Amino acid sequence: MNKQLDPLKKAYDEIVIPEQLAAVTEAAIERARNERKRQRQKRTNRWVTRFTATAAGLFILFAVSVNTMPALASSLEDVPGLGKLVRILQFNQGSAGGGVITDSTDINVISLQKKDDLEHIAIHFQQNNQNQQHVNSFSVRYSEYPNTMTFAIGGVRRFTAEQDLAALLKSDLIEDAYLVVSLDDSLVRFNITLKKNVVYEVKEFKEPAQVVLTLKPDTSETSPPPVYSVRTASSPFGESQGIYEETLLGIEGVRTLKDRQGTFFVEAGYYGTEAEARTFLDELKTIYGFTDNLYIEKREALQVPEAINIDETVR
Amino acid sequence: MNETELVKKAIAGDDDSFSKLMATQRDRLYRIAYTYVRNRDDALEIVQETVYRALISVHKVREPQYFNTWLTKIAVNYALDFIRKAKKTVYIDSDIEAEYVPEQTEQHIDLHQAMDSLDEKSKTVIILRYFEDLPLKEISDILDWPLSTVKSTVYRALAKLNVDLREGEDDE
Repeated sequence: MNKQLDPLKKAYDEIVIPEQLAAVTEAAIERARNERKRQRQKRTNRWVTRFTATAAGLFILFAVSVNTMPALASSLEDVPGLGKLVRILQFNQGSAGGGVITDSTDINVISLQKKDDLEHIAIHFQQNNQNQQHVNSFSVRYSEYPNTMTFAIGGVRRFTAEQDLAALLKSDLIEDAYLVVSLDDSLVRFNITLKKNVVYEVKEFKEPAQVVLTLKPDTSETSPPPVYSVRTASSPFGESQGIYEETLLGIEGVRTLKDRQGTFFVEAGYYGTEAEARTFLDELKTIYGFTDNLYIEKREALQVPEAINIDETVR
Repeated sequence: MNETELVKKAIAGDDDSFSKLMATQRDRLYRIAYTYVRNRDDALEIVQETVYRALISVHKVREPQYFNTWLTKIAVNYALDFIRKAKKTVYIDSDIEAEYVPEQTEQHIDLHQAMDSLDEKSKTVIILRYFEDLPLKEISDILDWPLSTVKSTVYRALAKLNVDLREGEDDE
C-alpha cells in the first residue's frame, strides 16, 4: 500500500543538508549555555542569601578566629629551605587563594613536619624537573562537618606527590588526605580531613614556589550541634562526582567528600534542622531539576560521613 | 561511548556529550524542519531554536531512552508554531489570504506537491511514520495524542496521498 510513498521517502532522504548546519547547531548550544549560566547566576544569588542567613554565625566566628591568630604568627621563621613570603592567605567565608597562572606543573612533594604542637604541611612545585619559582594559581577552602581543607591547584599536569597524601596520616591532627576527582585535566584537588578543631594558616612562598599549611590544635572547647547534609549516594572515585558537582555548580557549599567506606559523594550543602534540609532537597529536585536520588544524612561535627549505597536504598 | 551513555551524561550537565548527540541528530532535525517550511533559512532557524530549547531543559529528561522522542517533540512543536506565526505574518503584511508558501526548489517538487495536499496534522504523522520511520506509539508520545488518533490520522493521510499520487500518475 505504501509503495507510492517510496519516492517521497527518497526525496525526503535527499534533502540537502546545508553546510552551515553544524555551525548553527554549535551556536545554539553556546547561546543556551550562556542563558543557563545567567539563570544559574540568578539562582545562586538566592542560595547565597539563604545560606548566608543560616550559616552566617559560623562564618563570622571563623573569620574572626583566622584573622586574629597570634599563636601562629611567625611560626615558620626557623623552617629551612623556604623562599620569600608572598602572602599569608586571608580567608574570607572559608575560602582563600593565591598564585599565578602557570601550566605543565608537577606537584612533586607534599611533606609533613611536626614542631612542638605545630604541624607544617608543605606543597612543592616543579616544572621540567626544576623547582618552580612561583606557585600555580590555587585556592584553599576550609569547611566543617567534618573539618576539611580542600586544595584546588590549577595548571598541574602531574601529581607525583599523590602518594605523599597517605604519609600525611602520620600527623596527629589529620584524619585522612585524599585526591578528589576533577573533570578539568589540569586541575588537581585534594582534601585533608582533620581529626579535631584546629587553628590554621596558609602561606604562599616564591623562589622556590611553596604553599605551607600550618595547623595547631584549637584548645577552645566547642561542641557544635549536628547538621543535616543534603548529598548524593556514594560511588567509587570517578567522573560521577565531577558530573554531580557540575550539575550543582553555583550552589554555595557544594563539595566532594570521601565516606567511611572509601567511596565518594557530592554534598550540596547542610542545614541545622532536618526540615530545612528536606526543603532544600525538594528545591533541588523541583526548581533545579536534579534528577538523581538525594539523601539527608545527620552528621556530628567531626564525624566522617557514612557511605550511602544506591542498591541498599532502592529497596 | 554509546548513545545512552552520552544521553545520561548530557542530562547530568555534560555539554560536550550534548554537543556530540546533536552532531548525530541535527541532520534529522533539519529534514523534519525543512519538510514543513521548505526553505533553508527557516529550517536552520527551527533547528537552532530546537537545539537551544533542548539544552536549556535537558536536565529535565527523566528517561534517557526517550531522549530522541523528546528532541523530536521540541522540533515538531516549534516547527508548527513557526508555520502558524509565518501564516499570520503573511496574511497581515500582504493582505493576501494565502497559505504559508515558502520558496520552492526544483529538486523536491514532487515531495512538496504531495505534502502540500495534507493538513499539518497529516503532514506531521507522515513525516514521523514514513520518513523518520518511528513507531506509532512514539508518534503518539511526540504529539501527545491518543494512539487511536495517531492511527486514524495516518490512515486518512495515506488515503489522501494515495488518491493524489494516483491522480498524478493519471495525468502523465
